[in-house]
Amino acid sequence: MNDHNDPLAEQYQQHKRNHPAPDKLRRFVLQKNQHHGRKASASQQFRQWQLASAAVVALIAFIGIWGTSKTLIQLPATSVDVAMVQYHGFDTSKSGQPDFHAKKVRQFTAYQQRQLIVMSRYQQPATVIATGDGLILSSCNENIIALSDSLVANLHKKNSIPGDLAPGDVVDIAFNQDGYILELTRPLPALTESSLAACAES
Amino acid sequence: MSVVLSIQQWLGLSVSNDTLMSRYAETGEQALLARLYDECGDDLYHFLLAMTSPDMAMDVAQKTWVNVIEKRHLYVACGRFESWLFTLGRHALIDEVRKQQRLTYDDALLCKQVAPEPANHQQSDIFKQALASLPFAQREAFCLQQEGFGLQEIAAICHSNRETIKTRLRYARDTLKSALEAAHE
Repeated sequence: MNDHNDPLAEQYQQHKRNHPAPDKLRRFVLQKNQHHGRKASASQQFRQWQLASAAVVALIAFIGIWGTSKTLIQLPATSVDVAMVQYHGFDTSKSGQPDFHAKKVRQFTAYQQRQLIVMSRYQQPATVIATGDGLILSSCNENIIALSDSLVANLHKKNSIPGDLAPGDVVDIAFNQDGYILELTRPLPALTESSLAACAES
Repeated sequence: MSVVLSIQQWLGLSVSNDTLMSRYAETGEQALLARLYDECGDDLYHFLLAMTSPDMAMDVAQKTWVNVIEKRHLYVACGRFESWLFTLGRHALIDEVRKQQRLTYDDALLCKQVAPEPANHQQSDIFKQALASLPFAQREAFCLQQEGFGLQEIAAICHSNRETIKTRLRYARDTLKSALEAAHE
């Protein structure tokens, strides 16, 4: 439609030529572009700094993580010790039984009483020097302990003294807190490899 | 300005506004914007002047070019630069008109005759008066056609369909012809 034969088009173009855009509009546009360019350049520079900072932080973090993982890899392999564990506990399958707790209480009370007895006595090793009407013993600190024949008879009555004592035998003398002799026993044999093996087999 | 564009200019080869805008969108170079303004500045300003008062045309033209500067990254070279520019210009114009409440931009008002601005009365230019007396929608369709846009482009710029634009153009041309003939008589 914008042809030369169209009077309206000619009129329009004539009118446009008579009304060009003001020069100040051009100046404004170019000035605005210059200002925007500076602002964009500043923000771009700031963005570049941000990117550079982020890259440095990422690099430091990477080195940190890499170094840590390398240290962990270089650690010697942890040796694993295998040990036998004796497990002590309650048989929970029986815990539902009505007398289970009462039984446990009784066992604990008995244990406490035994503990009291153990704590209230002390033992001392001694060597039999002479036998006869009484008994003469020599303690490890070379004290001589003489037992009257009535005491020996009393201990025999309570099965608290070995029956076949002979001079040179070693016994453990158990005293109560007051120093009275409660029992004479042969000391337990020392643990040897063979005895341990026998124990393990049993 | 980029070397390729400079060589094209030196060889006398014409560089399309689309190419200039694409380059400007990438670089923001002052010289490219200056060339774009020299190519299209008068056209846009005259379109806006035909649609409103000189002061508002100046304001809207400024806002449109500021949009070109600030939204240059949104330019997609899949159409004519002029279409994009005039679309921005029309949006800015509608916004300004709404802001100043000089016109409620709805279809009913677009079909009404719009009283010319006082500034237009003072001008002796018969054509301008006849143009100013056209309804807004007819006037914008006619002006866009005179700026070289096809029916489809005008429809896209005005967010209307092709047939509506054809009708508006026919009415606008008839009215203008009648007005000019009456003035000659």
